[in-house]
Amino acid sequence: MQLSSKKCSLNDNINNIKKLLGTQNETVIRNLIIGRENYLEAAIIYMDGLAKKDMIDRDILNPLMLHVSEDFINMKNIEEYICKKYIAVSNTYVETDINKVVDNIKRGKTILLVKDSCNFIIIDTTGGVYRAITEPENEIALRGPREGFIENLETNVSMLRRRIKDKNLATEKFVLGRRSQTDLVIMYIDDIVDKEFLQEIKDKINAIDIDSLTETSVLEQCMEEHPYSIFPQVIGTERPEVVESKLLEGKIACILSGTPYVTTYPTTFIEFFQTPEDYLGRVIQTFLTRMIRIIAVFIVVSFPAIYITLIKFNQELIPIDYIKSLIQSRKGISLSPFMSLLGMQINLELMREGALRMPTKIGQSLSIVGGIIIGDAALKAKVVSSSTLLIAGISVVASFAISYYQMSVSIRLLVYPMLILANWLGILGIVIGWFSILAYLCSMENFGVPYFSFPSSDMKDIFIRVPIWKMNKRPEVIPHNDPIRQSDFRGDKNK
Amino acid sequence: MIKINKAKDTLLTPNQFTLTLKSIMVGIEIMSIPNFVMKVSKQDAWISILLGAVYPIYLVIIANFLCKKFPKDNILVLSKKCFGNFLGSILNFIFISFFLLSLTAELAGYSNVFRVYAVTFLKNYQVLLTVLIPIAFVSYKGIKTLGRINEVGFYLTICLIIFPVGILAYGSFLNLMPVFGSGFKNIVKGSTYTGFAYSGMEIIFLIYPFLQDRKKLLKCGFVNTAIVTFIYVWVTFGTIFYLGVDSSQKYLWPVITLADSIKVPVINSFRYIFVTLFSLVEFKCISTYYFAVSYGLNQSIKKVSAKTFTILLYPIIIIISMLYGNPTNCRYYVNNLAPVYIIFNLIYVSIVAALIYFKRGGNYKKT
Repeated sequence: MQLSSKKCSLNDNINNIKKLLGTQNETVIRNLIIGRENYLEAAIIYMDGLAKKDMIDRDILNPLMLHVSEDFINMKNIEEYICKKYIAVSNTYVETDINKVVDNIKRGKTILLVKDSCNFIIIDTTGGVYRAITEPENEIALRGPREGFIENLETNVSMLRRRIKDKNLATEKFVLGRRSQTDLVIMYIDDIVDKEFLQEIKDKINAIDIDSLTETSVLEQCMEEHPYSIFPQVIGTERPEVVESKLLEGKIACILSGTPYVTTYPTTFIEFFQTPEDYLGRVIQTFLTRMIRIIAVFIVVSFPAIYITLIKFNQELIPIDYIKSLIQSRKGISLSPFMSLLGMQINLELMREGALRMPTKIGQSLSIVGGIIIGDAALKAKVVSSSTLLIAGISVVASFAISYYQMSVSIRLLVYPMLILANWLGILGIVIGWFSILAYLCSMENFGVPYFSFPSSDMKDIFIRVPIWKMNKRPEVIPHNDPIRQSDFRGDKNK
Repeated sequence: MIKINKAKDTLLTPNQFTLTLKSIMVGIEIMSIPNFVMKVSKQDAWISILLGAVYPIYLVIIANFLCKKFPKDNILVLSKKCFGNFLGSILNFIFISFFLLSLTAELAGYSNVFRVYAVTFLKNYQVLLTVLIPIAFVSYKGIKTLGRINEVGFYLTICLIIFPVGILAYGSFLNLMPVFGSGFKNIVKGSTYTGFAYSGMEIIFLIYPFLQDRKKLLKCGFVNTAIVTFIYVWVTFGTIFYLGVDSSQKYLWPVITLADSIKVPVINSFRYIFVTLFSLVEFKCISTYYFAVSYGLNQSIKKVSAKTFTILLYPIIIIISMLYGNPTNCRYYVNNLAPVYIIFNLIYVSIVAALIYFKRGGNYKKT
């Protein structure tokens, strides 16, 4: 609705805005008078709770109502003049499009309307109460910075801007959700990001037509290519320094208003096994911890299956001393090893799921009842053997070593098909299972980027992590326009 | 500049290309290759194997020549250009049937080895039916998935090659002496028995249009031949070193015994683990053959997609694989059929290359 071409009355303007905002909300309309004798009628509009009231009082109402002594009659461009002279707020401008005005009110800005003018003065009074910047509870790095993203979009963007001062750091804004009208900002470094990939992401975002976008994971689901895949396809973090390093690899960050969880595109499988701590510690230590994570995946997926295979089909492979104790522990147990292991796994899943949702205080009693009492009772009741319990326990403990919860859940789920395959085909089932997992991972692509691929040039930061000064090139898997990250500043002599 | 590898331009990186070639070459024959060669060239078998690498090197050189002339056409298209549609198609089908033979021989051979060492309780058809499912999946997904799995799988293969290092503590260098003792003639004769082991390289004629950087074709081919030759030589050397020429002949798959040198307290036989890990290598090999067959058929009959061929081939492969029977029979068929095919392949690619070389600007462009 463009109103600038004709003369507009103050009341009409207010009514138009009211109409566009909807009647049932916390809009505050405050009429005021500017000047002394030939005064000028005006009004301010803002949304209660989203704008800073003390700022409005101090920097808008106070100068306009108490400190104007001049006459505005017959003056052209009154709005600009008022803006320049009386409003003591830095981000202030004149807008003509009423739709933009309404959008701004919804985001906490204050609108100043002047009699007989078709223009609106938009004053940035965005405020409201947000959580303070704290260290993210779910991602802890012992030596990393103590700040994490919060629910406020502007703060999150500013945190990244503070970290990357490059002039090429670009932000683009989208408004998503028919009703929620949530702000989404995508951030990237303009001369690193692959333009084709960027366009693909933008097209995907523009295509989204949804009622409300509550979470980054909703955005993720709207965009992802393999909706029924067991593996997570987008990684997110609450740590700004992690997003910073990903932006520098040529990735695109999606920051959604109202959530501290920032996702980066494209994501590869191996990222779920890397933590910020990897880059802060010693090289050798990192190698060991990464190996442990990979071994953990192997243990979670195949330990129960291997146990079933050895017990059920290939007893001859178990050393004689050990088989004696195995037979003794299995005496009097009627359930097959497969059934008892399956039962134990499901029981452990129940406990884990319970512990995740329960308040901490109840969680403690859950772990006592679940872990100690049930474990002990299951042994005495001859439902499982102690070795079965041990295998189930090891696989649960190993699953905790996988740092990302989403990936940990996916890996855990793979146990069940593997158990069934092992119970049916023995070791062949495990081999087929593993090959299928690898084949499936290799076949997956995220927006044209392979999900599971280890080009030899990227091996510097997959299983091992070489010293930072040796990572002269950006990862090849991620599409980018600028392969050189740094010069070989330590040279050959210092290698 | 690194661009995203879109689904439409399905290209392999040089690394993936090299390792795809490696995958198809190293299959079940690695388990028995020392025996074939040792029959003739005795303790010098490893030298024969070194000489056998001439075959893949020749193929690489021819492929490089064809790739320079026609970077976008594989050999099936070229042979139609050279021989005309009818004769070209027949020769193409024979060429593709070689991959089918190798594929089924690999699968049958794998089933035999695995049923002896790991899953004695399973029947042949159970192994074949289940194993072929993930393999067909890889072939169904196409060249990019294949390239990636071959690349990732290579890191696993490295472990497998390193394992038998343990034999160095148990064997004897006397087993290898005297070097060149079996005579130059026998060494050369022995190298002809490596044909089936070095076959598979023929896939280079089908997939060179997929290589991103065509200038690197020669390098990829040579690096691959070097890797494969190294693996074969190492394995043969190891077998002679560990078992000696005579006792090696008593085994059907002497290479598996190399695993005995490793002793792990939690498991009685390391052969079991060795065969299990080897399965992943074998699956890659069969997947690549599977892809070669379905892609080759698709190139000959363009109306049917490679994916459809993958599904159609599944029962056929199972049936053919079941016909081979026990390991001795299987080996008998392969040993008799493989040389014929290898001679055919040699003549086929040489003639295509020769025709293209001599008919420069000739009538092949019009057909």
